[in-house]
Amino acid sequence: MISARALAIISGLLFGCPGVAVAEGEFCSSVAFRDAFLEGQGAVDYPSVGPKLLKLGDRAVPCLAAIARGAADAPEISECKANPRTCRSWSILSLSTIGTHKAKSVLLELLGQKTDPVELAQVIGGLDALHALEARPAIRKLLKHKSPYVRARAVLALGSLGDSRDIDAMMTATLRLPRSNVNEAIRGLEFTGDPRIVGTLEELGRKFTDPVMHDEIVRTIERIQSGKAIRPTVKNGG
Amino acid sequence: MLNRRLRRFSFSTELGTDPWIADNVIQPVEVQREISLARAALEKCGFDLQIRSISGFSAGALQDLNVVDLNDPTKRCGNAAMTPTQEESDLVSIVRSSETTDLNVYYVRKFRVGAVSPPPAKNAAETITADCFAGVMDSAKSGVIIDATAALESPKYRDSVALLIHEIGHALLHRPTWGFDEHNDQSNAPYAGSNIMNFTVSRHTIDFDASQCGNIELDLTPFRGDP
Repeated sequence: MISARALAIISGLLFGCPGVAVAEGEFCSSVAFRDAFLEGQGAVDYPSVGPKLLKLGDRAVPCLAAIARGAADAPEISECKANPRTCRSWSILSLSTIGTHKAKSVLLELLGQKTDPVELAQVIGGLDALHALEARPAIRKLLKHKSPYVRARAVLALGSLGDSRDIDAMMTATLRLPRSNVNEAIRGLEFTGDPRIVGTLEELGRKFTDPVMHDEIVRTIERIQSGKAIRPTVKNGG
Repeated sequence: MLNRRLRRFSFSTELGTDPWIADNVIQPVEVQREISLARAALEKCGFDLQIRSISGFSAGALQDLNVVDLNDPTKRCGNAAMTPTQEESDLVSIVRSSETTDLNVYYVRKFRVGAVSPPPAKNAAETITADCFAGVMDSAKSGVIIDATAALESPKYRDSVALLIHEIGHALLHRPTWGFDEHNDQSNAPYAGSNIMNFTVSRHTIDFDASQCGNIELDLTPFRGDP
């Protein structure tokens, strides 16, 4: 005789039935999810989400969402106790890599919840990678975030999303960035391919006169003016 | 910092390397160990790795280097958003080999992403080349950068000896013709065992396979960014 709870767990494991909260919780605590979650971590230079987690797809999303949020009921994975940030960050990368509508919805929620600049930038990157146009208004607001790290990442994402209505705000935000963050914003401006950005780049060139920055600005202007601007990588969306 | 040098001879290909170390963050003898392992591995592919010199330099605040956040989903090789951080660009510009075909390798004290150290992705090394980073000129802006703290960290220290050859592998392999993540073989399965491109580097990862050696030699130029 199989109990109703056991049936719910089995059906959740087999079919990923939505709404079976007990089964979902059990699944997030399962060895199968843990192994899939940890696969690909530990790379010395280039972490990639493993095929096991990708195969789980939407079944893994609630588990990843709980970890990414740092929720009290997040799956207990011993490897995450030593460095919870690494696991939150890995979850954001995983959600974007899974890239389904459900995963993108979680990233959109996280965009309004995250306060840590590095994690917020990762969420922006996740939505950028999915070419999530619906995130554009929220990302545009982040051009005024207190952290220049986040503002630069927002310029890059808006350049990738490619709405010409954002260019003026992107240029203003770029001019207010410190030198240490400005190159990412320059790439975001270049993504637009819009010749209006040349004036902003020239202004940056007068502000930052060192050879490294000068070289980057000159090469970017040359690419823009020759019609060879680096354009964002085309995505299929999530 | 290491420099790269390439010369073609009638019967062999010689790669010259010169280590450059930021502010004594690692002892030259340790770099020499990594190079010896790299030399042995490349010898099997028909390349002769030579050290030009081991030199120090002052990296100033760049000792604690702000690196690309590899947990940012757009920061993937070949993606147009994959651009070096300003600090990475600055570092590879401080000192470079006079030979533009040399591979410059830099040892810094530690990596960080923003104020977070170690980086969220826990990466201990990176290879900046034009076949991964958009807009990079190999002759002027390429380089291997290694987090010396991570490389020397106990108890992984003995395993990190293969870190340099793993990164040289990234520099030598030609991503567009390889077709996959360079940590994966030609069937897109992750390398395992003793292969140098096994993503979990250890003292046991010391071999290139025939397809890797063949890819390196594909255009008879080990460094694809050669001008």
